[in-house]
Amino acid sequence: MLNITSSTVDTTIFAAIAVIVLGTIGALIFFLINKIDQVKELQEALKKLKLSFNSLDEQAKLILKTDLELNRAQEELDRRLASLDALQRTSRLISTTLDEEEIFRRLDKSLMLQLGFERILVLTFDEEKNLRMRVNTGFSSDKIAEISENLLKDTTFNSVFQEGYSLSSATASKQKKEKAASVFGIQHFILAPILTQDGTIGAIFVGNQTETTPVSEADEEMVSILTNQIGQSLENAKLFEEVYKSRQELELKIQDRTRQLALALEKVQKISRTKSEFVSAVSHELRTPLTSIKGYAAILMSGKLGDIPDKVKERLEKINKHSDSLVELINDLLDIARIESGRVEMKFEKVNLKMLIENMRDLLMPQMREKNITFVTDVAEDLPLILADSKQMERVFINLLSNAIKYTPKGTITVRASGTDQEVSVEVQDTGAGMREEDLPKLFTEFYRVENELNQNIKGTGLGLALVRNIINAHQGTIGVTSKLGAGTTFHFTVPLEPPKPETTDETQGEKTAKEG
Amino acid sequence: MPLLVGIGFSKHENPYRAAQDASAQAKIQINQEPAELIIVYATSNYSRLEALAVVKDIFPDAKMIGASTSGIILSGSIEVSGIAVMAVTGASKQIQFGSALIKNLQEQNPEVASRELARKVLKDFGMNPRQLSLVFFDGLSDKGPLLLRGLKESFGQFSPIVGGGSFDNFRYQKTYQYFNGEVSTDAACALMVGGQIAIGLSSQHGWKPLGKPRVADRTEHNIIRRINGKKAIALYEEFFGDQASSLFLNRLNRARLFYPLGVLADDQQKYILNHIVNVLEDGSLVCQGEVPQGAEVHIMIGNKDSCKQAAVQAAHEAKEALLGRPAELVMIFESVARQKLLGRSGFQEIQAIKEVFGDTVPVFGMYTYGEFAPLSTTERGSPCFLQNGTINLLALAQHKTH
Repeated sequence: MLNITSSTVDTTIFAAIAVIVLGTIGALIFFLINKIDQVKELQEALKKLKLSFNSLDEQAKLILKTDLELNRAQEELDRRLASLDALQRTSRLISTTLDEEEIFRRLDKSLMLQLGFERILVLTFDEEKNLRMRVNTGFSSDKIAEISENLLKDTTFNSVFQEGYSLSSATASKQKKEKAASVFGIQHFILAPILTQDGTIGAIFVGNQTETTPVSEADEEMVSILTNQIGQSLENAKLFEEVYKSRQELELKIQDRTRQLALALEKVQKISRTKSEFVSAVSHELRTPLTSIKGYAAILMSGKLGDIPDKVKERLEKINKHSDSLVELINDLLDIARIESGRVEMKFEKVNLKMLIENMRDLLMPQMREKNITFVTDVAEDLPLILADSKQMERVFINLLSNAIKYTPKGTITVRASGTDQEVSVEVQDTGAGMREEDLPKLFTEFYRVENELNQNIKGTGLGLALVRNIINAHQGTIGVTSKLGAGTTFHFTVPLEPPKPETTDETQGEKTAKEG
Repeated sequence: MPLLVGIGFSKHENPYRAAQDASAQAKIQINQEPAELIIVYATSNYSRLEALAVVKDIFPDAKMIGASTSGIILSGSIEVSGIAVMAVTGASKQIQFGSALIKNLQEQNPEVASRELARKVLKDFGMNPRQLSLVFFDGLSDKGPLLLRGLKESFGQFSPIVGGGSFDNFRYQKTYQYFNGEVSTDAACALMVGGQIAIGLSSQHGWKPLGKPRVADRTEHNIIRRINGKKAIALYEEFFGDQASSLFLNRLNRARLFYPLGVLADDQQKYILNHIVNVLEDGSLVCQGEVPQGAEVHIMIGNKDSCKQAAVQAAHEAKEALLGRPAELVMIFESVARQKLLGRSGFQEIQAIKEVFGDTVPVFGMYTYGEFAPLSTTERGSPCFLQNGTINLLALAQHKTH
């Protein structure tokens, strides 16, 4: 029983152990299977992570390449903007001068500083169609001579000089590029023609030696724009030069003509002086015999030498009368000559024109009454006194009024006078025959007489108005006339209250004194 | 006397006259007081000895340092040609300066030379509390990383160093360093600034990593031999194709400035940018700064927008560091890569910075070929690196005296 029991217990324990062991094994197997799954999952995740990392890397590469391209584009854009800025500044520099030499001087500095080229050569054609160096940086004179010769002879450069296209290491064909590079000895270059309306007048070469600064298509465009600007500036300079030259020539011509005119004037003045002197001399010479003639006629007429028949007396009276006219004429001539040559010294004193005009009324009234002429005066009450030669002013009035009487068959003569604090203005108006407008300008010229029927019957020397003008001028006044044929004539003159003192230098003073002496 | 800052600039075609004009403008702005510090930036064609001597003549007693650059950043414009002079006066009570120069870097062990530079600067500076140092070195020299290493050893690992590599007008020919009226090339000059002045410093770049991470598994200072088990240039070849080598060998190609190598910093957050300055025959890449072995590297990409965002972020950080004090001057040391990338919109970035500080803040900056800057400017004691592609703002404010 006990054995049986013992055996049963053993079996039970064994079974229990077996169950536990089996359970543990099962659990372990389950755990292991689970772990393996987890590891597998982890491995899967790691694989995915690796893939993501690699994908991230690939994306990063893509981003970087895009960024690199963007930066390159930005760099090119920056370069272009900088070039445009430089171009604009250079253009402004060269377009603000009209001097050809200055254009090249400014260009030299600007190409170096603004556009940053290491080598520069600017060549223009001279009159013999040879290329002449205008700007040079970095080339020897021998090299320039060699380059100039090649540019003219080598057909590589025909497109530049004959067709007006630029040539650069950025765009030219390999063959042309190599040829140009060997001529200039520089790998990176631009050669652009300078164009004007007359065609190609030269070319600009710019280049860089260092490998790190090649020229681009944008550089070529920029230099082409610049050469156009240079062409235009040079054309402007040329036009300016031409205009300037013709102006200079014109000025020279004007100066020459002015000189000729001055000489002619001097000649005329000299002739006029000679004429005055001649008239003066002749008048003097005429006056003496005239005085004798008048004297003898008077003696004969007085009957002191015996009675004379009436007919003779009548002739003698005519002699006397004509002699008087002649004396008057001679006196006028002498006065004109004297006043013109400044030999009549004006005796300035306070003159009351109002009173002078009233005196005229007394003096000329008989003649006016004879012709039934009404004499009207309109003189301001407060007419100021003037500083003048009263004798000469009297002559002015006598002449003007006598003229008015002569040419006014019937009507009114009016004298008006008014004054300011500077001057006195006088008008002598008649309602007489009047004159044509074309006669007026010559009216004050000596011996000029208006040609008309009326005048043929009226005696006159043509000296009166000339004398009046000279007197007024000697008083620093002005005189003028207005007239209408058939309606009358008005003479008007002004005289300053005090004639301004003539500005005489010591020299002219001396001259005057010498003449008077 | 309060602290006065005067900034003058001229691009008169005669460098001598330009230096005279710029100095005179600066002098007028500091009320004709004798200046204590002069900083000069000039583009290559203005880096003449006679021009710098004129500045020295006008400010004979001032400490003077400066560098040639490809562009000068001013409050109203960015100038790519000319000379700028900044004069500081009235600082003597609050701020201390120490300056020095070492020449002929190529002939010396750069670490030894830079320790000598640091020693001379500290001697001139005296026992005053230090704030930060400003260093200019020849940007075209490959001694930058070692120079920085020596300076860090002497000034302390966590002392902020700003400034960077002098440059020319993208000709990669000759750059100049200015010190007390002297013009040198292949030299470094340093200025230590300390005393009662609040400083807000920030450095950002805005470039982002591209593609999967790779490991620089063999490097020697600034040379990366292998990346992911392959020759280093292979990384760039994967992205750029066969032209990669020629692209990096042509210094004038600006793509080399646009796609620097980003090195993930120890903080696992920031990337330090490195320009590839040369490709060796075995396919190794020569960087401007140091690349630690085992570092995670990426090709980096940036655009105008990301650059501007980074600049604004830098401005906010620098402003916050001033703890509410108004900035009296913002100095900028900005990578030439950004100058090229931003191009004509460069001034928009400066305008955005000014908007953060207030439109009237005077700005005085230069473009550098390699920048010294702490990795993080928000954490104190962050180590300095020679970086590329960054914009570094140094905002200065006076401590309020109550």
